[in-house]
Amino acid sequence: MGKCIDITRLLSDALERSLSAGEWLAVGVHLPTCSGCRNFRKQIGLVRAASRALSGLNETGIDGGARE
Amino acid sequence: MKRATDTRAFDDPAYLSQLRRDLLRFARLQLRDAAAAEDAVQEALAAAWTQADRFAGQSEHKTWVFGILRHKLIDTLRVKQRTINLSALEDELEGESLLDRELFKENGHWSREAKPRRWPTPETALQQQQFWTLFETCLDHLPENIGRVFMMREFLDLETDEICNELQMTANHCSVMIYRARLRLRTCLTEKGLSSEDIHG
Repeated sequence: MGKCIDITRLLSDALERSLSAGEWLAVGVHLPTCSGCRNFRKQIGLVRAASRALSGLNETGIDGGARE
Repeated sequence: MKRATDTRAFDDPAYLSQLRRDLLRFARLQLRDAAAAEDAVQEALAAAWTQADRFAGQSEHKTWVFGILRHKLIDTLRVKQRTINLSALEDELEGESLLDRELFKENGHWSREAKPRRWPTPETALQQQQFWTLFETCLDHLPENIGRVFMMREFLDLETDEICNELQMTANHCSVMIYRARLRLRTCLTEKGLSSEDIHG
């Protein structure tokens, strides 16, 4: 099972590029067991939505990444 | 806005003053210089004014003005700061390992106190003035270079490889900096009191 410190990095990278199959697997195995990383994922989604809203990008300011 | 009138929707003074505030907030965060931000916003609004006939409504107008401003900010920042100062960058990354020790245990898992808890949904948070105040404060607290790369990505909407090329950094370095910015922002927002309980109550 991956470490939170590495999984959080992958969750951030996933907003920038497509993860490899191995990376997805690591994330997919880790998330169901870790509420901290699940919350982290939603939090960085909110950070992205807020950044875009503040910059006048994306009228709604909310994208799928931040949803449940 | 749905209403169709003969006066152009973006002549509405309430809309314009809100737009001006939004543009200024955006420009100030990028330039960190109130006077320069004021100038950039003024120029963007003036440029939009000369093109007034091409907008169907406020939303289109707003997108366009923000687009002009974004290009201006990119140009201004390009002139001001060409490359990353490597020794400053190393200092910053050293600071990052301190943060990691606060957030994570030695085995790489969240420490008990730092483990992320539930936040309000975006739908709720983005409607709250309190959230925006915290968000701006936390953006201002980002270490300089980390903040700069993050802003280029998320505020100026540049692609990651464009940013790396411009700053002469590797793709890996770039994505580390963006990760560090996200980690810091969510940590700062949490420390300043953002939680799903507070924001409803």
